Amino acid sequence: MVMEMTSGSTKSCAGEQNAVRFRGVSKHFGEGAHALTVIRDLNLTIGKGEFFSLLGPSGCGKTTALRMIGGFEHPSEGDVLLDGESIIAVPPYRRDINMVFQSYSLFPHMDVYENIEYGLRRKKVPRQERRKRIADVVALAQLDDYVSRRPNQLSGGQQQRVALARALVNQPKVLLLDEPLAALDAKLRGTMQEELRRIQREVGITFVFVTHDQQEAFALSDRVAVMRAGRLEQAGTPLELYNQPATRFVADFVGQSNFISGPVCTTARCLLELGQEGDRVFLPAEAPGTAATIVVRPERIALHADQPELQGESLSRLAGVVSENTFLGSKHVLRIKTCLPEPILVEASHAAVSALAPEPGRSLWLSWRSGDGALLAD
Amino acid sequence: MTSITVQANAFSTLGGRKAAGFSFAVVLLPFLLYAAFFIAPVVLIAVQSLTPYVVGSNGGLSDAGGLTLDNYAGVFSPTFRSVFTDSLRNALAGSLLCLLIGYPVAYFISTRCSERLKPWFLVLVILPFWTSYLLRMLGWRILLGANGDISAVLQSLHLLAPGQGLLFTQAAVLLGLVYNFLPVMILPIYVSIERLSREHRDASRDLYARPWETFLSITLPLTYPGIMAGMTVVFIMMTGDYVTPELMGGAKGMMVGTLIYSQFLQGENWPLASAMSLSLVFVLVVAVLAMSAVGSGLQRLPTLFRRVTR
Repeated sequence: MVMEMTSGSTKSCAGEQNAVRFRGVSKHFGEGAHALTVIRDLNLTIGKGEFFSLLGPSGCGKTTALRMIGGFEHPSEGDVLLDGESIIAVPPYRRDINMVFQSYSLFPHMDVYENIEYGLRRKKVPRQERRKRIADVVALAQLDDYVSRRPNQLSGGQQQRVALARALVNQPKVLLLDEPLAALDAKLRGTMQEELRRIQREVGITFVFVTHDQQEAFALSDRVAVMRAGRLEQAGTPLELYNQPATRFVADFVGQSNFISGPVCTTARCLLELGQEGDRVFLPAEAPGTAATIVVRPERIALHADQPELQGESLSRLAGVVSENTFLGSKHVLRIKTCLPEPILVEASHAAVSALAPEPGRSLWLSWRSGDGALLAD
Repeated sequence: MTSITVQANAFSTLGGRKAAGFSFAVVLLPFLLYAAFFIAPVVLIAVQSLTPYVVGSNGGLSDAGGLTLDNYAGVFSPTFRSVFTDSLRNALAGSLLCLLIGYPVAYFISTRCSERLKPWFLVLVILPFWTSYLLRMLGWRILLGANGDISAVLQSLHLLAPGQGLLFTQAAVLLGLVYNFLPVMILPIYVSIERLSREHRDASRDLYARPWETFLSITLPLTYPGIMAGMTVVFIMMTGDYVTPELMGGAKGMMVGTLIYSQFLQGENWPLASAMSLSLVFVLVVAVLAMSAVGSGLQRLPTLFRRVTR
């Protein structure tokens, strides 16, 4: 509450830093008993010049949130702000925001040049400046050879670049991208990701990118918001989401995870304690309740032939038996049975594996720095 | 081994032949019907139109010898020519009115109605077709007659003299034509608006186009095929319609259909009627070609403008 007050009083100052802000936004479709809530109490801040991704499975509300910024959906409750000012009453054609649609939606009866020119003409940009801006954006999107073609004479990747150019040429405050790479094949998608990143750095415009692909979101974004069933699960840099996932859903969605849960024992930092010299699992921070769940990434776990020394509470260790060893080319993935109900996944390098020869049935020790685990909120 | 292969090949060829035979049979039946009931009558009419008229014959196929172009000269005599031009003018005005009324209706159903309501509105559009055409026309006659409700309203507004009705005027003919063929205009336009994705209009709005700019630059040009389909069909049907002008216009509303009808069944000059029929087909082909030329010219104008002012 106090924090809300503070941020409220410094609104004008904060407004300089934030391109887009969702404040308590909810969206319901339909009425009465048939009402469907697509977004629930969304609070989110997108910084100026950021490459920001909305990530989540289909139906999580990410596209609806994006369309709200564009003005194609209206929040049922709450407010959407652009540069500190509410925009919910502003129609799309008066917003300094442009969108790249999922199916590109190029105008089929206009050639590439006319498609790109469309927004500038509507804004009554003078002829000379129109020509200059189009020339710039055509070069930026590498479309020089295609300006006089119709959209149906272009490949998917080319259409995608035209859609991007058509939006960027207007120099919007915010560019919205609705899964623009979903229709491309895997190889082209990789190239386009690099190109998007390059273009965003060059123009410095705030990009808001919707995707269900975790790798894509991580590869492109400065920050990512993970959404689930209309709620924001967590927002942060890719590194934060990966290393300190706030919920089990985020941990699972952004990579392989080992979950360890149980009642908190003896000291506030201890999750598991077996025998005098046996298994010890420590929490990365003090748990607020009497039970806790932590997540440990498979590549953070080290393998040992002998029991590793404990260093206070900073190292956790488990004894286990290898049940499976899968070779994946660049690495090995081991499944190890421990005292926990679920087997532990471990990613190990060639070097680690060749030193230990972990055939199925071999007994060994696992350890990780307790700080590498992340305490989950749920 | 070899013989088995050969046999298999023989079977597959046989199967292929059977399939070809079947598809031939499928095409043959409609073709025969088409030949018997369309091509043959047209040839018959064409021959009739070149046969001299025997004065005093009571209609029927003329069997006078020799070939003549006299019948065509008759078609383009001043009396008949004015009926031709009236028909074309009525049909053009009628189809433009249909477009003017039909496009907003189609647009409304396609873009402003929920998916649940759309089928019901479409049913409303074609509902008049479910009752007898004659019954509906007779209804209009009552409304438009000198004592009818519509005429009464117009009389009280001093738009019509007391005791005067709308029936048996060109306006009544036009009203009848538009009323009858409106659904034929609405449906193809509706389909073309449905096919236009919502995203195209969203993209236009996103690119700073006000609602009317989006309509003029995106929706209208992209639904052009539907407009042309509706215009062509409605124009042809209106030109050839003879019941509506007869019922709504009487002697004043004579259109080319009525004329041909009367020559076949009252004047009983079959060669002249045949020449009129073929002339009508020819004039319609020319008119439709002209219409589509004008249409595609109009459609290219914005592109031309964008090129010139680039």
